[in-house]
Amino acid sequence: MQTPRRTQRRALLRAVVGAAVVAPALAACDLFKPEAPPPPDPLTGFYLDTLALAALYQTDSRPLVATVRDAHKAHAAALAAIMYPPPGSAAPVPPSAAASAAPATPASVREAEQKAWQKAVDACLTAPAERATLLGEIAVARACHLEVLR
Amino acid sequence: MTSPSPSPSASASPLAQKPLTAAGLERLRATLAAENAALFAYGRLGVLLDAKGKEEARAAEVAHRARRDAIVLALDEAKASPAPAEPGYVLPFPLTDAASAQRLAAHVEEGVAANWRAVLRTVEGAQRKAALDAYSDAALRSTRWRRLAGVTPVTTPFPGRVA
Repeated sequence: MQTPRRTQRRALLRAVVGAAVVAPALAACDLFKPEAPPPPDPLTGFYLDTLALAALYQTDSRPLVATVRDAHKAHAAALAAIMYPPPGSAAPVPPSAAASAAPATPASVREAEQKAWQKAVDACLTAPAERATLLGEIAVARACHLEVLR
Repeated sequence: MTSPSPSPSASASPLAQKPLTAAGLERLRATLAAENAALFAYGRLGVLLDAKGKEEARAAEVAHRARRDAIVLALDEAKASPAPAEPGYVLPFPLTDAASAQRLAAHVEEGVAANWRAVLRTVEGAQRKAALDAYSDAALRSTRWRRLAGVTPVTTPFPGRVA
């Protein structure tokens, strides 16, 4: 018959040995744990808004409108090229209000362009130097869109 | 900035309010040369335009003069002796009628826009805003001249970017 003191010692030994065996196994599991997705690039919202802006013109095939639509698409491609992580590989970001709205009339399209222009100006003015040129180009292109959509 | 309309009152430009980097000074020197070339071109082409075109050209000339003065002031503040304007410039094509005058105006505005575009990454804060305003104004004028001249496309995705 075992004394209670002996039982306690065996239980303690089992716990120590068990921990020594299990700990490396758990550490090994860490090696294969999937990495958390990197945070989205700060331009992600701006990028999604740009795609939404291009989509506004999807059903209109007039040459002038096609020029504006293609410019927005070119802007989205240029943004995607400088973003890290590239869009689509980061954690999903809910679309902004501008992206989810779908203006259809010339007036509402112009209003969307006006808002997009102001966002591009703000983005350019607060961007790091290496992103200032592209964001400035986008802001100025949008100003020109407002001019031709008059 | 609440509207992309041209802002000719550029004489109060903040370009001179903060020391510029060496890259910023170099870009501003190049931009000064472009502004001087634009002033020369407008001095030649205005006479060939109709009343509406003349009005547009006059407004453009005022804006370019204000921006030139702002750059000279900034370079002066930085003790970076601004280069004087050339006595003459070779025009890229013969100036014979209103259409060629409009094309020349679009051409010089594109050149000015390209130079202000290049300033953006060398400055920040209020100086970047001044550069963006100037870039935007030149690109808008270029768009208007292209439309008047019937040049297509009237606008490009990356204004001022050299292909």
